[in-house]
Amino acid sequence: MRNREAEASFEDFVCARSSSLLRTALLLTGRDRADAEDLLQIALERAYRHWPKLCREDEPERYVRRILVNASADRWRRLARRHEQPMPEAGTEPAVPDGTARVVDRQYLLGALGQLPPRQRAVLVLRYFDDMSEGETAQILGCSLGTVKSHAARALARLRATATTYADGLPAQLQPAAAPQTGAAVAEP
Amino acid sequence: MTDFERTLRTALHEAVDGEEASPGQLIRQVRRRHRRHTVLVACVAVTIAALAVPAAIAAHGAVTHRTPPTTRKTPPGPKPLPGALRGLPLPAGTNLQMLELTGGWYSTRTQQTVPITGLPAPMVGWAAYAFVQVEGGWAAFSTPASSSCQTGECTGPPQEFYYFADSGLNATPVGAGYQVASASRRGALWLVTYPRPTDDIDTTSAIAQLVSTTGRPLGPRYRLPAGYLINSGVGAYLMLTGLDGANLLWNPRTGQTIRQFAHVIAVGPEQVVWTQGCRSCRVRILNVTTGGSVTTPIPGNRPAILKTSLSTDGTLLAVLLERGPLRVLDTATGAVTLIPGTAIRNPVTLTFAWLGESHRLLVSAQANQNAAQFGYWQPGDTRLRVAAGTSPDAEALETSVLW
Repeated sequence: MRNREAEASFEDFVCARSSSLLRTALLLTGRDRADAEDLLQIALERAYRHWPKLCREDEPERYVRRILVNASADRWRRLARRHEQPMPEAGTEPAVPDGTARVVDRQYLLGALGQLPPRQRAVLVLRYFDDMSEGETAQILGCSLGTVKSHAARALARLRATATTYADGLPAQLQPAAAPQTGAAVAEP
Repeated sequence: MTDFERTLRTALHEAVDGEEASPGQLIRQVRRRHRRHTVLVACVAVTIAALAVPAAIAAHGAVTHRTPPTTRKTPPGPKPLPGALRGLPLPAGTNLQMLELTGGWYSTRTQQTVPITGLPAPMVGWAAYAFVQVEGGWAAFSTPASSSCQTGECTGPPQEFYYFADSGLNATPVGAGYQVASASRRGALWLVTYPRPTDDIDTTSAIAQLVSTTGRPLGPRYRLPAGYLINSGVGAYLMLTGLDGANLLWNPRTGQTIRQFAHVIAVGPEQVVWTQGCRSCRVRILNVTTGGSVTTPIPGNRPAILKTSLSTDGTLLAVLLERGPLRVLDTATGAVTLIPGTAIRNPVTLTFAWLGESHRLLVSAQANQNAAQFGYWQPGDTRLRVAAGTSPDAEALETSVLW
C-alpha cells in the first residue's frame, strides 16, 4: 500500500522533528509526558495515513502541527467531561529559593496553561513556543488573523490575572509589575 | 513583544527544554496504531463505507436476468471532468430507496424517509447507525462518537446488533458482541464477541458464531486466531483480517489457514478479490469453491482503488479508481465494462451499491450538502439512468476529511 520512499520519508521526518513536536504536545496537553506522547502518536498516525500526499506538499510539518492542535482540541473536549483537576498550590516552594523553585515554576506554568481554553492555549504555544507569526498561527488553526489576535490577547490577560492571584507561586519573571497607585489615600483614624 | 510576552516565551521553553522523543519507539507505536485503525475500518465496516453507500431497492423490482458485460478499451478521461453524473433521465415512476444513517429508507420519488422500527434510539453521546450488508439485508449498530477505550486497545463493552431485510421496515435484535460480518449464506451472519470488555484485541482471541438473523445459534463457537477479526464468510471458510493487515483464508472447523493474501479488495460468497498491492500488479479473483482464478486489466495498487462493491452473488464487482468512470468487472471472466457518465471531478463523493440480490447498480453523487444525484445502471445499459434530488441526510453522505 505504501512505497518505500514514503516509509523512509516518514521515518526521516519523525527522527528529525519528533522531539520538537513532543515539546509542543507537552505544552498543548498541559499534563504529563504520557499524555503528550499519546497526543503525538495520534497526530502522527493521522499524518501517516496520508503521508504520500503530505510528502508532495511543501511543508509536511505544518500539516502535522495542524493535526496536533486539532487532536489536542478533540482530546480536551473529551477530558472536559471528566472531573476538573485542581491548579497546583501556590507558595509551596521553600522560603529560601533553591534549585527546585524553577522546576515548581515550570509545573505551575504548565498547570496555568492547562486552565486556558484549548484554542487560547494553542495560540500561545504556537506564537510564543513555536515562534510562529500571527498569520502562520491563523493558517495552522484554520481561523482568521483577527481571531488569533483576540485569542492571544484574552489568553495573556487570563495569565496575567492568574499571575496576580498566584503571584507568590509564579516564576519571578512572570510576576506582574506593581500597578500604579490611582486610588485616594485613606486617612488613618 | 512586551516584557510579559518575552518572559512567557522564555518560561515556555524552559518548561519543556530537555524533553526528547524516542523516534524509533514512536514510529513503532504509530505503525501499531495505524494497523489497528486499518483493521477496524476494514473489518467493522466495510460498513463505514456505508457512510455513504446507498443500499436499496427499486419499486420495479430487481432485475434478475443478466446480460454479459461487454469489454471496451479504457478511453482517456475528458479534462476537466464534469462535476456531476451524466446520463439518461430515470424512467417515470422509478422509485429508488436509500438507506439513511439515521435508520430509515429514503425514497427518491416521495423524497421522504420512512423510519425502521425496532432500532433503539442511539445512545446519548453516540452518533447514528452504521450498517453492514449481509445476505438478504443489513445488520445495524449504533456507532460510537469516539472509542470507549481511550487507548484503543481494549474491546470496550459489547454492542447490540440488529437485522432488517432489504427495504424492510422492522429490525430484530441479533445479539450483543464486538462485530458482525456477512456469512456466505442467506439468513445467517457471523457474530463476534470477546470474553471481557477489557480484553486487548491485539492479544485476545475473539469468539465467532454463526447465528440466524434473529440471533438463534446455527453452529458451534469458534475461537479465532488472536488479533484477527472476520472480514466475511467465503464459501466454507472465513476471510480474517489481522491487526497487522494480514488477510487469512481460514477454516473454522479445523483451525487451519488455507491461504494468505496480500491486499484483499472484496470478498463475495465464494470469491476473494485481491492484489499484490504494487503499481504494476493487477486485480486477481479467486473462486474458493472451484479453485478457478482470473486476472483483470484493472491496476491493483491500493491508492488507485477508491471504493468497490461486489454483487450479492459475487459475479460482478464495481470498482471506482482515482480517476475515470466506474468499472464493472465480471469476476468469472475478468472482463471490464465502463459505465459512461460516471467520471466526475470529485470521485470521493460517488457512492454505489448493488441493489439487493440483483445486478442493478445504484449510484449516487453529492454535489453539495443539499443537492444529490441518484441513478442506476445494469448490464446491457449503454448509459446511466440518473435524476437530481435533495440529499436525504447531508451527514449520511459526508465523506471523511483529512484532519
